Amino acid sequence: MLTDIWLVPVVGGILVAFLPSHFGKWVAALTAALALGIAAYAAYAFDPTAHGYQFVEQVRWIPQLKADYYLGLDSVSVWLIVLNALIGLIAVLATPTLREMRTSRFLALLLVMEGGMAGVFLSVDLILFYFFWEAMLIPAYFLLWLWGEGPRPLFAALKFVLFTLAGSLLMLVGIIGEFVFTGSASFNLPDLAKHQAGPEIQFGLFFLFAVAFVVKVPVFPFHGWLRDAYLAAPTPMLLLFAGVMGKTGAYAMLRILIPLFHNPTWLWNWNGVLPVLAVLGIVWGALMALAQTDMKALVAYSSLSHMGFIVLGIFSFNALGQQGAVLQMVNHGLIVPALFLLVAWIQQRTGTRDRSALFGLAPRLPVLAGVFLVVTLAALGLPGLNSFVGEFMVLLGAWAFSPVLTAVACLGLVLAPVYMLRLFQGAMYAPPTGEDLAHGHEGHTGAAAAPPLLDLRAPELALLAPLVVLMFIIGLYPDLLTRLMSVATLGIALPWQ
Amino acid sequence: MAVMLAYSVNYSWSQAATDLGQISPIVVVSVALLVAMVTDLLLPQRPRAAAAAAISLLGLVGAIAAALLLYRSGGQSAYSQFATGDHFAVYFHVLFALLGIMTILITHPYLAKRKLLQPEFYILLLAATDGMMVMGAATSLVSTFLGLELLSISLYVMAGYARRDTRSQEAGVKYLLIGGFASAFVLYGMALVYGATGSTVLARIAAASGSDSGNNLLILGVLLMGIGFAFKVSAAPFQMWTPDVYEGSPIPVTAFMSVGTKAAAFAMIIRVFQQGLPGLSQDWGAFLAFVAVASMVIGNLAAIVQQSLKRLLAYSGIAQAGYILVGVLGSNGAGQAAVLFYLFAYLFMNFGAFAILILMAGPLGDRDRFEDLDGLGYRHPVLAGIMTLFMFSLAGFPPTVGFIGKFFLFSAAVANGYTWLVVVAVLMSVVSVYYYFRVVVHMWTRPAVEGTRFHVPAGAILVIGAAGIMAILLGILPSVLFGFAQLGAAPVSAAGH
Repeated sequence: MLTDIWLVPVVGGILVAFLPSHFGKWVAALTAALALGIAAYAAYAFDPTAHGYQFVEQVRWIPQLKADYYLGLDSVSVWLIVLNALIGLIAVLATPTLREMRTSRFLALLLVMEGGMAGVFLSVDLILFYFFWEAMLIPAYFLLWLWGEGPRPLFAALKFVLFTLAGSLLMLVGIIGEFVFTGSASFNLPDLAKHQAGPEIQFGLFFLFAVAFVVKVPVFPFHGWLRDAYLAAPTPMLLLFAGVMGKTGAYAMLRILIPLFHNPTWLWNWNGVLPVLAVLGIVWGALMALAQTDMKALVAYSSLSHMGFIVLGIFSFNALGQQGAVLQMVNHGLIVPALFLLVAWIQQRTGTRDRSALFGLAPRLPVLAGVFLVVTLAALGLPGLNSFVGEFMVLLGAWAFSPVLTAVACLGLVLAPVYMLRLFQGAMYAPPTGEDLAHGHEGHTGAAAAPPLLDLRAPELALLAPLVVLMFIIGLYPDLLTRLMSVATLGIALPWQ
Repeated sequence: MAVMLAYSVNYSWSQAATDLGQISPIVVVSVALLVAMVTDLLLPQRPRAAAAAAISLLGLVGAIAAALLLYRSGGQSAYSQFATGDHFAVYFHVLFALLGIMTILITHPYLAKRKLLQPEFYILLLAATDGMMVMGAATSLVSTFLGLELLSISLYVMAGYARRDTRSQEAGVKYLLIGGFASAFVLYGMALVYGATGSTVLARIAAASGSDSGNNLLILGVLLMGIGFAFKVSAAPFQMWTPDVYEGSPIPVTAFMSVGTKAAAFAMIIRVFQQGLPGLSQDWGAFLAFVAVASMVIGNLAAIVQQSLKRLLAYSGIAQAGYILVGVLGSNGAGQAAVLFYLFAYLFMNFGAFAILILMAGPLGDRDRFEDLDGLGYRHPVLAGIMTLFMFSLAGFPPTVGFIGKFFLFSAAVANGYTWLVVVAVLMSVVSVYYYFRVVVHMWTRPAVEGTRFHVPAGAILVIGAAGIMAILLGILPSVLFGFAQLGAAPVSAAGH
């Protein structure tokens, strides 16, 4: 069953590549729906009380390397594969159909990318993990480059690939080193976790692994690729890119860094460095978001800020913080795609993404404004919506770890309403400013007299509906997720066990 | 002298038959070579070339058959330890015969198109292949040098094969001068090693030299041989000839030697250093580590600025030689197996890439500018797709064979304590992605130039298709080939310990 979760999108994707656009989209949607069905069934059948990996599939893959084809689902990855499949389906449905082969190829790459990310979440063997980790770069590269927006999509794609590749190739050295220096019997995570190397070696290996993950998340100051790549990414791809791909890095931290390196201390303790970077990222991302006028860039930087909370939670080294981090991974994966979709639809209708050029949309687009409000409130962490619970848990966990860092991280919570509400109010409600009024009669004629815009249609609403509904469900009943995580069945000894 | 005489007197017919049996693939190729030459004299002008091609193909297929028989039965040394039929030799016999077959299949239409169709090409090709096979099977310095010269002299002529093309002539002369220079280095080094140990047979050299690091004569001999070998694998800082010769030679010759010379020279390096001088691994290891770093840095950085695809692949080949040298420095057994595996991988991905350039050649010359690739993705989408695959493989992305090959190389080196070297290698791999992707970008972005569709002959479909399939199949399921590589590595690694 676990093989199907990644294989179905990949095979479906390859098939779709050779189909004409309209038919291809149907097949792609069916594939994505099937993948979601399998993932959802796995989540349904998942036994929350059991320890260790479930639905394990283990076959010797490369005997000479002691590498296994080893898939397993645990209480963290189960959420992420469902999220991945859900966002994948929404992304496929959100792809506009053009009467060209290009749409089919776009969908094909999208599905392959989804399959690659599912593989990352499912792999228990490090070589297999690396296999998927790198393989998902290839479709991402082509999607960014061939379908990218903006003046230089190729540059953005190349920058993204070179940034991530520099990190992940160092991780390759780390994987080899981990195997060689710990004398483990295999590349399986549980095996590797049992063999802890000396602190100096852990220090080096931690660095090699962490570089790959902090670039992927990204963690401040490794976010150099973020703005270019997110701005260039076509919307359907961006849903998966921002919604899920960043989570692979955070997931890998939780699944690899934490259990494999209990004490990465030599010149300093890496476990103390990452939370500081995370907090810097929270504040930096929030400040940068404040400064953006391009709505897409604003959401991109807010994403940097939110990912900082996830990393902070992971490195708080207590159950509360880490559960909060996992919850935040899911939350962020629901909110950011919704935001990017809304931004894309606003751009489609008004022709601009510039926050300062938009105002008074709410009376003209009441439904869109309503949905936008819910998502905005979720993003800024309003109680009752999903993000609040996660961020609160992270901060509680982090407090136990370092009150000072937590206090600084709260700045991010303070700034989030500022940039999110400014975005919402500015675009939706703000009346024309004084300057606009002065020139109102010659320039634009004001919101009321502007040509009517087409509000959200049913299909668009249907795309957003699952995300918004889940925001409410998780916000009101977070226990649904955290209950499963609290048993912390990771198959590997985690610090809190 | 008396011993030698006595020996020659005692050389019986049955002994001769046994010895011939141990080198049966070489015998088969040599017979085919002679038959082709005689046929050339007997036939009228018109069918000569086709006949030579057919005889060569038959001979090479026969060589593979002989090698497989030898694989099942053989494995002893022959000609009083001058040659052997061990698994290492068998592995290389198959590799070289396959290379020859692929070259013939792809070259025939090329030669016809460029009006260069002469039987001599195939005769030289067989001679060169024969020389490579001798290098793989040789277990004494004398027979090694014999193979090296047979290969080199054939290649000098082949490089200048396009007689009316001044660049080809220049390449031939340049290769002759510098290649002769390199051979002199090798020969001088061999003479010094003979002087220091009293034998040219590798097994006796190994016994006589022990771990005698204090013997300056021996060290100097190793150094001189190492320089000569580095010339032959086109490793920096002895790589200057490579781009010019690759660029000037007719492209099938470039393709043939880019894989063949490199593989043969690595066979020689492993035989002579690993099998003949295991005690001095510290000394030649330091030299090879220096050469590896220089190759990876110079090859990758210089490749970035190239405008000719042949030169690009030349520099990429220099960089690849560096990666393979990293594997030579790997731990005993695993390192050699990784090198053998990677050479086969290199055959598929590098020769495959060249094969596509061969197809693009026009009647007046090779088309190897980046601009010549423009729009290939629209004219020949399947070919461009396979070329993309080769580029990803050369860059080392999963799920291609390039990734898993590099994994084997690097893990062996880390296991032997060369972690720093592997870090250099992966960082340089990041650089390589830039120029491999440039090729991809040109194929898929630019508009197609009218009238540049070309005919794809059946032989080319076979070669390129097979190479493409192998490049991905071996990436996913490497264990069978790696098993053979391990068998092949056994005779040379057992000698050390």
